[in-house]
Amino acid sequence: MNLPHTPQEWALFAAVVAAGLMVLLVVYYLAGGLFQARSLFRRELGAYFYSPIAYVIMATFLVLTGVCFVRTLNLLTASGHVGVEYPMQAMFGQWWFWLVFLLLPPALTMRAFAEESTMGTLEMLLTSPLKEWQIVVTKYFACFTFYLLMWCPTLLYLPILLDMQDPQFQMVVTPWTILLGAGLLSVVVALFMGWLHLNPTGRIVSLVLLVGGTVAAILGARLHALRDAEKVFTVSMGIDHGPVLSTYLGLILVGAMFLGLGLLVSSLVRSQLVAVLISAALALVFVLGGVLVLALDASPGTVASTGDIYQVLSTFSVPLHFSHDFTRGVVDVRHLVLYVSVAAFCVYLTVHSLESRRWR
Amino acid sequence: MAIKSGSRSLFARLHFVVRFLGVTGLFALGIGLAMAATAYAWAPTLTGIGTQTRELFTQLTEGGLADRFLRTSLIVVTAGAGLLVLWILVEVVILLRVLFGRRGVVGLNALFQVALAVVLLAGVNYFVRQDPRRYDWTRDARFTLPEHIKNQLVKLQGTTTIVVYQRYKTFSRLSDKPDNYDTEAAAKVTEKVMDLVELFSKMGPRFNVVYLQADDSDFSRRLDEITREVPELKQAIDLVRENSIFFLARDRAGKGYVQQMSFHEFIELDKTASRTANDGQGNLVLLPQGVELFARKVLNLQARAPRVGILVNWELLTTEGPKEYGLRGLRDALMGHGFEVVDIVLAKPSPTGLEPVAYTLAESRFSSIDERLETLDEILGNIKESRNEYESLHDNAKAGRDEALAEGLVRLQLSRLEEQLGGSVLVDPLSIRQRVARVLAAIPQLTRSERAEVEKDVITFLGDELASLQRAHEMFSAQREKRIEERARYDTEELAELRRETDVKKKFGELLKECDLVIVPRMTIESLRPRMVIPNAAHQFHDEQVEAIREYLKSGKGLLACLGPTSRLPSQLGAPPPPDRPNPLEDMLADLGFNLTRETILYDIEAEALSGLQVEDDLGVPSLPEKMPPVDFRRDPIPPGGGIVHDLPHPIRSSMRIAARSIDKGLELEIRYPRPVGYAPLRSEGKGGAASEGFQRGAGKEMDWMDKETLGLLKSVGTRLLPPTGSIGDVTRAVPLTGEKGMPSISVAKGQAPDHAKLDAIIKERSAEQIQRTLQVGSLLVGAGTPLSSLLASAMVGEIGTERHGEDKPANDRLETQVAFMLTTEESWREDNPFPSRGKLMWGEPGKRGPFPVGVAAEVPIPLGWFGNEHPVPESPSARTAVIGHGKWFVGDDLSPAKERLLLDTCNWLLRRDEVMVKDEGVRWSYPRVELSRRSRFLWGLGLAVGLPLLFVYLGVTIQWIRRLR
Repeated sequence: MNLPHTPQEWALFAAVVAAGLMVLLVVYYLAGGLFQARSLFRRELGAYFYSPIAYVIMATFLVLTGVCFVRTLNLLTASGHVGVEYPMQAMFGQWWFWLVFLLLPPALTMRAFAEESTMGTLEMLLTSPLKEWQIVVTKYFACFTFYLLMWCPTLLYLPILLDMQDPQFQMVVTPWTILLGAGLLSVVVALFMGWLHLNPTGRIVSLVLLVGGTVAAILGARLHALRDAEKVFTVSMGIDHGPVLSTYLGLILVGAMFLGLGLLVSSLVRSQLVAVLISAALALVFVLGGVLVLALDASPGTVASTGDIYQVLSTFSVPLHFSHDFTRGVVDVRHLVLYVSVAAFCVYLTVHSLESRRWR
Repeated sequence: MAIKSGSRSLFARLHFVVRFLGVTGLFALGIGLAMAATAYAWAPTLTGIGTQTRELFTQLTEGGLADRFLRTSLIVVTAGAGLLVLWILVEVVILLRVLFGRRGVVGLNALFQVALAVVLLAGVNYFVRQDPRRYDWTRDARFTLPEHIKNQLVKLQGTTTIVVYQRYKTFSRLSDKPDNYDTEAAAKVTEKVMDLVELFSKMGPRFNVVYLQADDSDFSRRLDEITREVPELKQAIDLVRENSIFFLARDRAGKGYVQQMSFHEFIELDKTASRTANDGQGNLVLLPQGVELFARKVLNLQARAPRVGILVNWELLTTEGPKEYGLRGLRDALMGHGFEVVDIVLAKPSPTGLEPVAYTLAESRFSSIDERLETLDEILGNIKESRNEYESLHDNAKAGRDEALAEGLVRLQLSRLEEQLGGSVLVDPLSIRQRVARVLAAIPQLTRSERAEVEKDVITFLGDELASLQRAHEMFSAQREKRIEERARYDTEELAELRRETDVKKKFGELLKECDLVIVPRMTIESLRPRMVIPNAAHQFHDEQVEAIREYLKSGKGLLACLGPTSRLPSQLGAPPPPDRPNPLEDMLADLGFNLTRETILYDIEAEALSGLQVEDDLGVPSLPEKMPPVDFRRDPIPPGGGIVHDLPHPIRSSMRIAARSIDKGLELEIRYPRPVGYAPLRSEGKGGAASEGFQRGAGKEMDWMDKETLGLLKSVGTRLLPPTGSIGDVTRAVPLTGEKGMPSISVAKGQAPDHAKLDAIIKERSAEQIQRTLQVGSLLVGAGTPLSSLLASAMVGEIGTERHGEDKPANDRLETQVAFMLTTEESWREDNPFPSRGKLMWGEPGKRGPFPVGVAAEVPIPLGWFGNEHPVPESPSARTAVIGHGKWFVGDDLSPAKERLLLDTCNWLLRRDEVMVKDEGVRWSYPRVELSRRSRFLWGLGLAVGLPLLFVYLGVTIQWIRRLR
């Protein structure tokens, strides 16, 4: 292990440690708050599945990704000179995908506060024992969870996008496979216990099992992949999986940003339709760059791409981030920081927006 | 209360008006900006836009803006912006009032927190942008520079500018009709180049990337901007003919260094493989040449540009010569790829023939100007003399002197005679004097009127002649002035200093020292019908010049000889053929193992046209085929012993084959009247070559292991025999000493000395004729015409095998085929006398039919005999040498892309820059393909694009119904 040598290195090290501790503290604080607001979380998440809007969003989203998938499928199975080097680029690197996509997160967040305001339930919610930040963060995580679930069906595209062939399962008993199996079993047991509506102790146990099982499963899977010679599951992938991972990472974080924007707007207006439109307009700032780049004929590598305008636009342009980086297997920290920081900022402003109702 | 209410109402109304105006201003601003965007060509940079805006508003205020639409748009923008600013100011005032009010304290606190959050948001994003980190998650780390390259790049000092210049939309200039593969390859290669350039730019501020597109409307301005302080870059960009990358750096003194590489040097398209990929369904196949090549250009930025010398006897044949004879195209192609080109003129016409010199082009021109000035001075002197003579005659004739009248009359008569005959008349001066005397005697007999008429004619004639001489004097004087002006452009002192050196060998050697590669172009047969031939004698170098070239080769530098056929011109009227003139350069090449015969290669397609029976067309011009069979780079040459060679092809041939594959057809490089070029190595193939070195190091010593009789025998056949010393080394090949089938031979194992006793016995058994015949037969195996000395030297040292002639393929054949990079097709044959004559039919006799190698390039060992008594002699001295059996190959103002490619590949190989030659090392890039049947593809598409959304619609509907039931 390389220890810091110079005072500057020590200072940086100390700053990183301090930041890490602070993040841990914040996570702990947020986790505690979320746990307290678990009923609200359940209600918010359940509301999506009980309302038709979630299915409309889901179907619309899958039609959109389906069109992209068919296009990519055609390129992957094409003959002649055409083809696609990065399938994820053909899927999510197109500006028109983002123009449609930017309507979906606002549709998920529009009801978060606007509906409550319209129906008059927001005042009731604000008088609950929960603090404003707990309400906001819980609603945000409910939206985010649905957003993640929305992407789950797209995993079905992966056998084609990764050219998976010859999948094989076999029984391999090693400490790491045992850890993996135990973790998965714990998760299943936890989910079953959660379905049973147990008392608080049972719920805590189920939660511990869920978290512990997930951690154990991830750890076991990772160590099994790294250290065991024989694998439980093998599949040959003709196409690089790195861009898939980076794309999904980007999609998760950009969704977090758009959801944050939507949540903020939802807290500011009473009408859901207005909330959607304003959220989409704000999200357009992050998408329009890609469209303007086309108008400027400033795709990467052109003269216009060196101009200041392009540089400014590309800083905020989500389509460019995806077409140039994420979908090609490159994770640029600048984009990640932008998405996360904007999401956190929006959530923070949403909290203030709710708080301001008290003194306005 | 009412007053307060009224006040609030007034304030609210005013506030509404301001807001309304503000929104209207915003709207107007948008419209104005849209109008202005379409009315003016704005710069792509914010700075540029700012400057333009300032200029436009200055013009607007001064009333100098003529464009009405633009003027209107600017007024709308100004008005809109003004209203917007007013609105913002009012809102800020209101906000401050609220914040500092009683309820505003809480709001101020909130605002402060939000402001902190904004600062944090901006700060975090700014911080990460200062040191952007990128993580490459690709399997093959394609967006990461290899660590060793990074480490080298980090050490670079100063700023390196990378200029990406896109001149064409298509990939290769080789393809005259670009197809989809070319277009797709162009896009993909450009993307790859950009990715790599971006990787370099991520290395920090030491790299500055600039993009240039030839079709960009702002191209000229940008080019001027970039090259303003670096003229070297401007020159390089002007010369380049394809999409290229330039690397530019400047030293502390401000001197610019430019390196460049073409896109295709970085990645080459393999169209042949593209068409056949994926079981014939096709895919784009590219051959990446590696990141190292790119990095090397950056790291060797300050390396000197390789200098290529052109060795010719005539200015006409230099890179400044006319398009029929000059090498302007060659020069442009080389300079366009970062070479320097210098002409060296090696002969000066003199009354006794060609005088050997060693001039730079400037010197040669300067010398020509001096000679021309001398001639002009002589002409002007003659004119002056004639004018004086005519003036004297004219004056005397006017004075009525009979002598002048008589001479004038004779000259007048001669002039009229010349007019009648249509040319000048050569008259004996004695007869003129006699005629003048006769006329003088007749003059007194003329009547007064006759004399007056004669006087008038003579005076008029002399006056005209004087005027004519005056005009001639003016014309030649003007020419003289022009030459003097031209002369003044040269640095006369420097040239005079250069010309002071009269030792040709020394001077030529000095010029050669500055060259990294020399090219000897010798254009001979340009056409057989009509016959247009430059005699080979016009190209001959003097012995001391060849000696200087030999010294140059000893330093290991490269030589490219483009030698046209030297077939003898047929003798006129049955006269015996002229004797062979010495050809020192070809003798030197023969010493190196190159086999150059006098033959000319003809093609079947020419047989009819070259036949003596050929019927000429109406204009009397024989019709020759316009299209000749192209030279072959793709097929493996067939060795003389038969079979197919499977060894790795020569790098030049390999690169040319890749070039042919990049367009999926032949390169259509036609060649007319080439000569066959053979090569027989002088020593073993092994790198160490200890055996031959050992042999050659013994130069000048007697062979103590051979009896005098044998020795005398071998010497009598012109063989230079030297004893082997040391071990045989890594001799790996074998050539039978006896060319006759079934004759015994001895073998030499690798690393062992030959069995001298057996060798003696074999030699003793044969007469001089036998040995010579044997060697001649043997020489055929290694290339006809190989000097006996060379062959025997090889044979004596170790290339003596157990094989019997005809039983196995001699290994030398393999070598010969390896070094040949360019062949004629099978429809060719070689002729000793290719010149057509009446009744002569040419069709290619059996045994003389192609294919023949017409381009050979080899790393030739330098005979150690060349080093004489020099010490120390370099270890395994060698030089890369190429011979192309055609002298006009690179002649012309513009080289075709294929010829340019061949030239560059040959030069790069000769310069030992193998790394910049396009190679196929098995690394291929192509689009990933997923193998699916038609049905599977349909099901995947339908299932996931239609079925999956429908599934959620189904779920949604079901759940809604269930909820209704509840």
